[in-house]
Amino acid sequence: MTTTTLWRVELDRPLALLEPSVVELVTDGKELRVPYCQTVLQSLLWWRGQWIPILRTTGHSPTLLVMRALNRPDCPYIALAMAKAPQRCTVTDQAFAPALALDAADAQSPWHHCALSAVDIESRIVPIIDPALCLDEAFLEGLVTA
Amino acid sequence: MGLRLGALYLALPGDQISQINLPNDLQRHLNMPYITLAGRRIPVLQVDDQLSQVRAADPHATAGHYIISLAYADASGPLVTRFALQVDAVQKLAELHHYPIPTLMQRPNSPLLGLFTDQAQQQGFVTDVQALERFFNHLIETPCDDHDYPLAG
Repeated sequence: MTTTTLWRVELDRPLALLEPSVVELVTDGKELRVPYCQTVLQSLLWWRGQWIPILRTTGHSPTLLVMRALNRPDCPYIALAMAKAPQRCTVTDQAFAPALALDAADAQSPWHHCALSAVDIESRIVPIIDPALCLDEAFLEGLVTA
Repeated sequence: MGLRLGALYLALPGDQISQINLPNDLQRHLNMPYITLAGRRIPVLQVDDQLSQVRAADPHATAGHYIISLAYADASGPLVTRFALQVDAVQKLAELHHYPIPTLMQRPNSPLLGLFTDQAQQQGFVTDVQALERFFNHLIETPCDDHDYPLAG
């Protein structure tokens, strides 16, 4: 039996990220508000000599998780704002779910559009998010209207 | 040149500013305040620092504001000025460090073309007159024909 390390993130619902998607946790970063932007992408984070977009779905949340967006040379990193720090967890192969089990609330979640797969963490099926898909325009619009 | 509109700090190519006026140079024709440049009426606009609301400049603006006329070269070469902007400050800028703004962040017709850091390590946004004109054309309604702005194209 093999195991996989994931990061569990709590937004309005739990999400998971694969280890290669997670780069750095920033708690006191320099932010710049950019006028006339998408509702959930209104600020940039100064990080390692570049400005990267901050995806903020909750209120003011100074904890930022820098994620790597593979196959997005136009925007290789994106920071996800969250109220509390992500938690590292290890799951077995058997915990991976063949498909997202959708209850009535989860079915409406725009995060499912960003899911690579799903995993059972503490008896809850949690989507594993691909950061590159978080940059999709339809997803961003879905976040606003959710 | 650096422009300040409230908290908004913009950098604009200096050759795109054709004239700087004070508020008492403002005149008014029907509902549109204007300044005169080379015998033409140039409508004066203002925008808030979140770029969320565009309106005609305040003809009763107090001291401390400036009116900058924005010009660009059209296809035939000569500089053309089609609008002016009320701003809080105009300043010369030294060499800037430029950074891109991820395209996916921005709404259509955003006039912000990039970021800059000035010598005092302050951050602002790069724009140019074409981008501003697209932005204003996008937002401004044309309820009447009592002024020159906006023009087609």
